Amino acid sequence: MIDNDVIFKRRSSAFFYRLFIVFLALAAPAAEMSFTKDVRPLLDTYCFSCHNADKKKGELDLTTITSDEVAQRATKLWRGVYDQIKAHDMPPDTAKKQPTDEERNQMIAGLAALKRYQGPPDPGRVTLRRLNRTEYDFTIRDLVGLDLRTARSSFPSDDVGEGFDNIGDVLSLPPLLLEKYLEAATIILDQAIVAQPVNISTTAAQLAAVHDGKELLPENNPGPREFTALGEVILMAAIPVDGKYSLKFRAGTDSAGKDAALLVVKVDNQVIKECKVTAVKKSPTGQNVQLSLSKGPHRISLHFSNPYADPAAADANPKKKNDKPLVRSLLITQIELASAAGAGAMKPLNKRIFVVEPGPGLKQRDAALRITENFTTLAFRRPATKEQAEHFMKIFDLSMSQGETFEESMKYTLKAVLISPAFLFRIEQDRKPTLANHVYPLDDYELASRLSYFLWSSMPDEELFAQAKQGNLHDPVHLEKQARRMLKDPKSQALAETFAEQWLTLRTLNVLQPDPKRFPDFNKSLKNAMYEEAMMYFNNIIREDRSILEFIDSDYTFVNERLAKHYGLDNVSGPNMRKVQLQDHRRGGVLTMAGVLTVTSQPGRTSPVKRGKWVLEQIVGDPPPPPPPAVPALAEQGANGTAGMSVRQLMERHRQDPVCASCHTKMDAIGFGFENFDAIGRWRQDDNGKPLDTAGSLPGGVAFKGPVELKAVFLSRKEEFTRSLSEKMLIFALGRGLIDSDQTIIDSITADVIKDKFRFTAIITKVVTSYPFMHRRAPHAEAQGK
Amino acid sequence: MNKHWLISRRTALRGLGVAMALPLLETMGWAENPPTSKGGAVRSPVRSAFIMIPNGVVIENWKPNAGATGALPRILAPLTPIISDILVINNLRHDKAAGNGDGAGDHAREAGTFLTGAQCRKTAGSDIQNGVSIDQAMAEKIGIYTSLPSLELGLEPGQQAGNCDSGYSCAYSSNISWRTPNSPMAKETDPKAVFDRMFSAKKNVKPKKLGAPAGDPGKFAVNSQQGVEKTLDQSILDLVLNDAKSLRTKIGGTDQRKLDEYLDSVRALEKRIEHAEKEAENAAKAAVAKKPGIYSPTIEVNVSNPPSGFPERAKLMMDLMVLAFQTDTTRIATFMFGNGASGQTYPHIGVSSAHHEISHHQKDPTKLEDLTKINIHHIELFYYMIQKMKSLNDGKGTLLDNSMIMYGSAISDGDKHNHDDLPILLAGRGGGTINSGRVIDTKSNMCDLFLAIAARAGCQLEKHGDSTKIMDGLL
Repeated sequence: MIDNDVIFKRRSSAFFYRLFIVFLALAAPAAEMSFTKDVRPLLDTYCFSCHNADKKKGELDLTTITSDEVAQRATKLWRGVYDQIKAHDMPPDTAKKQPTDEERNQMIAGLAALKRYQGPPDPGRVTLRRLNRTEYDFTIRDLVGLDLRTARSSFPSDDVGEGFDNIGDVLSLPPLLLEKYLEAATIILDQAIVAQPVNISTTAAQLAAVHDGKELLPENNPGPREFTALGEVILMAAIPVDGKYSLKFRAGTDSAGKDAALLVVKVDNQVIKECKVTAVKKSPTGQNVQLSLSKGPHRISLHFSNPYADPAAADANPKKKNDKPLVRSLLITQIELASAAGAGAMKPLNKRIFVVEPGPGLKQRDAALRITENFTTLAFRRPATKEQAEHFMKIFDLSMSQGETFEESMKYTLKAVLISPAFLFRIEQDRKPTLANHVYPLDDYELASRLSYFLWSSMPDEELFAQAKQGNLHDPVHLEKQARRMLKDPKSQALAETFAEQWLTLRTLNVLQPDPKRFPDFNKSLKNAMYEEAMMYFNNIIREDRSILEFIDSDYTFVNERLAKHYGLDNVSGPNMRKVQLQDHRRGGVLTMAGVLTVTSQPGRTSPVKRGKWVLEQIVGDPPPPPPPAVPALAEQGANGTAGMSVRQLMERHRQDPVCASCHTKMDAIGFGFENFDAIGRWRQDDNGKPLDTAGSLPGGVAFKGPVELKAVFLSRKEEFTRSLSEKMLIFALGRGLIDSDQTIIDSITADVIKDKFRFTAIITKVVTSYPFMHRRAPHAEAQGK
Repeated sequence: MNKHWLISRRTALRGLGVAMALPLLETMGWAENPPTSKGGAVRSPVRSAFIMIPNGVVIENWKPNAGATGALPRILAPLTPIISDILVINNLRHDKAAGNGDGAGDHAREAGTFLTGAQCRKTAGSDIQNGVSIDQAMAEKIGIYTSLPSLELGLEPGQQAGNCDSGYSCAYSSNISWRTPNSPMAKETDPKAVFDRMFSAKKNVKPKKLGAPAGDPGKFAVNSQQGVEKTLDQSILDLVLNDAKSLRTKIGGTDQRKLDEYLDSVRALEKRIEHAEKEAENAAKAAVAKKPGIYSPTIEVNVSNPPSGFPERAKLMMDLMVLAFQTDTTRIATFMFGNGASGQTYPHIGVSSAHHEISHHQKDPTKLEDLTKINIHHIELFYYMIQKMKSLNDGKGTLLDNSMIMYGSAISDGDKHNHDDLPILLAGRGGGTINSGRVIDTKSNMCDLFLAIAARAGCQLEKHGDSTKIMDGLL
């Protein structure tokens, strides 16, 4: 039995409606159809003359499929054939033999059955996805709380596939990018982890020393540091930032001989200052020395440089000595090292990273371990084990042993986390299939990541993480609830910056240069306003959960003074973008936005072909096939013999070529409908002085004149647009191109969105609760399948 | 090992607005070249670059007749002063750049196939498949001798919208350098970032710790494993490398391939750091050894305030390429004037329409003229780079004498999209292995030429792309 539903869902445009009436009458007999008996003979009559082994028009040879069995497996092929025949694109008007309506319907019915995916539900396999530039930046923002946009400003651009830059298969990781990751991690952590002021205070007895060539270690010789021979006390200090530090020490002496005791302060064995010590041993006094230290570990030593013994000291009989000491000594009691005054104004530690701080009750290493465990959990978007955290602690230990500060050592440790594969890739580990056909459901944390990267291009927030922890997310009810919550969060504006920007191909605006001679007032502020209009429009539909049909037409848009002037709207002043009510339907919706109209133009003129192609690809979801090679392109206005011709006249000349006509009929008709807009999207009444002719008709005989009527046509084909947008949304959400089995999913999403009055949230919630979003196929099945 | 000091003196390199001292340029690579039979003179390494222009050319205005003398055709005319250093190779072809059953998409393939000689798999997303490009095949062999195994440069960032060309992922039209059949080498389009990258590995080399001398009772343990001190960054790389290895066992299929890219990239970075360490060590050891007069001081490149105009930016990138060659930072570079089907406009030379659109000229005289202007503009920029290389001493001869700079497109006529009769130039003498200043006519495949270039750079490759034959006639 043929599923009538499927065909209905596929395209229910007004001009096909008549067709369906006829088709319904035929549906019952169609149920008994077979490829070899009912479809192939018609293909033979009308298609084989071009699509055979010799001619292979459009790289397509239909003659090779000779059995029902083979035919049933070629679902993808039939989808293409079905679309072409149904849209009256094939056979081309130029073909001598045309099928009767009855014959065409018979082919459509047969192909509808053949194109349907027959296999078991298949979620496909999403290839490991590296964070793209946007995702990296937003994840860092949410992880460390700093919106640095390091990736966007310094990473190479991500390659695009299937229309988006988040496709796992296409995102590669060349050595250049890894270098950037290391650099970015350093920059980010330098910003996120601020150095803390130094404040060391210790008794000299607790420090290592050298006396008369002998080492004194505090653990073995904890006594006072009093020198009678050459010797020094050594302070090993980790310095957080380049700067001035103040060294204080207290010292006293037994003075013997003429000179005062000399204490030499050295940094890394370089003499900094010689200090005279005159205070007596019993009451040592303090002295202050300013040090300029660079970041990193330093060896600071207080050196006794002028030992002296009165010759009388060698006298065996000490009783002969008077009160005056005979041997000069130096006693060092206390040493302090602190950041110089003023340097203490350093910022407090980043609480998002430093969930605990070492202190009296918490050893540095224990604090570091807890910080690492927390950071790793967030960065990897699933609970980190103690072992994982301990693993990164190897870097902490190494750094501390090299004399870095606690904060500096944390930086190195977390840097390792930020260049780990588990951070840079969104890992979905393979598990044993628990469902038929080697499929298993994703776990809650994987679902949380899929959801947050889909809607926010970033990591899950606390709430979503908690939901995953509680094991709620594999329940579609909870998943949907979360999706609705997340769409309300301002972070969902990421959808505009990622999805909408690419869907509407607005990234091209950046690199576009309309001919300055023809469009002297096109400048950056206009370009920005064009871009902002689209972003705000999209965000408004999300925020107010409006109908997706408003993407096609509405009675409002967003402008500032510059763009309002461009649009011929009055009473808008100032650079701020705002919502305005429109008096007519010349604007409203994405099709008539200046940004879209500009990116679908050539630098010097409009391009009805580009506009038509854009609409078919992005709105209708029926991309035209690529042109055959060596197709002559359209002559420039003014080129030989074409002076004074309008673009339309030029194109019609061009379309006289039958090779071009087959595809261009549809593309051009749509493009001509938008000829009221010039190459930068301004409304106009003529082209190059010639009157405009914006009338046209689409295959099937729907006539229209101008953009207002054309928008009405697309608006009437609600299902077509819903399906097209669902397809794009599913590709973007999954990070892979669509596979055969997805057609069934798209059918059901489309139907549900229609039922839910085309609300934006409907399309999102249906995508996130769809089978391929929630499941994954185990790898060995793929091997078997191919 | 016999060491030769090839750059005569310490020179200041102005970049990032600050003067930066380059170490003396002694490298493993140069020392490994056996002295030539006569007198044991040091041989400079042979450098190679591959430069792509998109959308083909006006071939009538490009192609000189083989063996012809006299005035050069219009497009090549700017090269007149240095034509004796250029070999014009007519009639090369790129068979795999054609559809061969895959239909349209010549512009995805003009870039994708340009250096791989492989048939790009037609896919918008899944299972990207090309071949290894010649620069990467060479880097695999001789990349170990330099701080950067290869350098990938371009002027247009990867295209960021829609499908780039007729169902081909944008990865094809945006990348000519491919490390594996599945992994393109992203190109750098920001001059400042290029400069940073060229010398960044040196930043990773820390001076030896000033910590406690041996026997010092200070607290810091000296971290040494068999006497090799690693920086913390290196320890981090070791750690994540091991993570990735163990992770790899837990995932399958194409996921493993992605993780392999990660592993390869970590290893590549480790090698760079090690290399920079050795360089720093060598430079420190023999700061006295000088051999004046044979080598030019390094050129000055100012990237602190990169210009935005097309020709200025192009020149700056070319300066960086020359600097990279001169300092032996790399011996292999690729450069893309534009992505496949580039829609760049050139208002500064009076061409305001998009390049790709113009390239479908349909014999329209206005468009042919505009396209010729663009072709000439690119050649003038190429001339800028070549004359600069010619002005620099590099051991015996000039830097240009020791280089092979290939220039051209994988499309001949942008309107016809044909992939034979390609416009290809080869500048430089490949260390005396190329007899330039001629026009030769060949019926060879591009990959034959690649094998010939590779061989001259010291890489014996058995095959590349669709060729197993080294093209002859260069000498």
